[in-house]
Amino acid sequence: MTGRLQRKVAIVTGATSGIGRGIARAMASEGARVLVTGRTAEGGETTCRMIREAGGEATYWRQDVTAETDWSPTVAQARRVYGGLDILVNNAGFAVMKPIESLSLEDVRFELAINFESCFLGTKHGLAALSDSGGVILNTASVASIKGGLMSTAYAPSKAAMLAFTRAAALEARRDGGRVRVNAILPGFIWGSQVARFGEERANALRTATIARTPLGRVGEPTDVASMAVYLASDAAKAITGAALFVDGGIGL
Amino acid sequence: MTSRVAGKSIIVTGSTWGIGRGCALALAGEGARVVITGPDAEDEPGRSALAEIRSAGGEAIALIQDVREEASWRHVLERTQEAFGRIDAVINNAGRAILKPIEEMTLDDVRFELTLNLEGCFLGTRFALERLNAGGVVLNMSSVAALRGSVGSTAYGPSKAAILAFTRAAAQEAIRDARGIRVNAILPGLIWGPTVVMKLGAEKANAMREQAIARSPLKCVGDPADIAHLAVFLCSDAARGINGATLVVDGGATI
Repeated sequence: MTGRLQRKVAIVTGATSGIGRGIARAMASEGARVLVTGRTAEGGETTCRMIREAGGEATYWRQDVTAETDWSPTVAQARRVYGGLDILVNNAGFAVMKPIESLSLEDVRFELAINFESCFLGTKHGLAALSDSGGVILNTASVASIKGGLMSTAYAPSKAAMLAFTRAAALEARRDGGRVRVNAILPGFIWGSQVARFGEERANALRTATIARTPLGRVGEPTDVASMAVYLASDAAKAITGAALFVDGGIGL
Repeated sequence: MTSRVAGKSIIVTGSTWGIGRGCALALAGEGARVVITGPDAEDEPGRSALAEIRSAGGEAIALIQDVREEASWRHVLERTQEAFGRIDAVINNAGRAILKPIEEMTLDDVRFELTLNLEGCFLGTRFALERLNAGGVVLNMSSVAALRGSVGSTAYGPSKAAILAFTRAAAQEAIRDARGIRVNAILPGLIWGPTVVMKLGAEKANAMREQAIARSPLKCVGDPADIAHLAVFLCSDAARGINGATLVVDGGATI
């Protein structure tokens, strides 16, 4: 079977769980060879095992996306193991949710570093490698990029920064005949691994409230985001750059 | 002349020059008591802004401030309270634009932009929500760069988009409070002032001006006064129905 990403090489950050794992698995099932990155080896190896069991190819690589020194080795590893780089998914992220009076400047900086600076670093270091292949960069932003929510005065700005970055980087990537496309995906509330942090009761309350406010009447799953990522990374999306694509069941409307 | 903001005590950060200065002058002209802040508030830029307000019969003080420092914020808020006995609005205007292609942009550049533009705004809003009077106003200066990408703005654009998202989230939190504090953002387009020429040099600045005029449906570039008029309105009680809003002042360039 020929997949839509046959023989492409992808780096997916934060692929040790949740949405990132979903994207890695979906890309691998379409024929991509995936470098699964993140800080937790156990989660990364689990993602790789799932991919291999389904007949795909993947390797775990330990990476802290906020450390600039980790980026060149990560790009080099993809080239060494799989011979190139076609797709970079800046997916790693974290949500610190607190009311502003309890939010410290350190919380704000943590959010900016893990969500946005990681995306800046990945793009800065990935662009040159991708330009050989006319590759694709995907940034996992959030519906919080465009819509306020309680307890998101640190999270939402970091995700909005990713969106504005995507637009500016998309223009820069096309200078001097560059062929790299840069797009952002904006998931709504996704029922993934980070939900576990809320505890079962709060998570279920959030789920019920989200379903009630979502035009499609459901909460998203990592596979919903992964389907969009596969599409945007494929040649079918060759006309799309600098775009912000919602996968939120309409909650951003 | 009716004063829409008469008697209100308003802090304008980064107001020794440019848009901030324009806002300070306009607010003072409408009878507000204004706090001019900036790292150079006690040097010529601050002194001349103060003199201009006072010679027109307005009331103002100038305070040195680094908006990135919590201690500096506490100092400014305390001195404002002492001078005017109340705080009605904080305009988080201080900011700077680092414009470079991504291959030359360093993580330090990115952090500088985030710290000055977003974190300054975060601290100002957090302290303002603690101290503002009922009906108080927080006004954050974003930019059309938050909405539209441009070459060279992979650090500036995100920092201004972060201000926009911050404004929306903070506005939702502020309405939980009985004081009815409103949080809004203004998105200026290219605003023409001496700082543009100073930073870019005459040739590059004029090229940018020509391009902006060509792109603008109104065939003009903005002036600090254009932003100031909106700031006066948003700080006034007439804008009591406006919260979490993001208002573009760019002559229609982003339409």
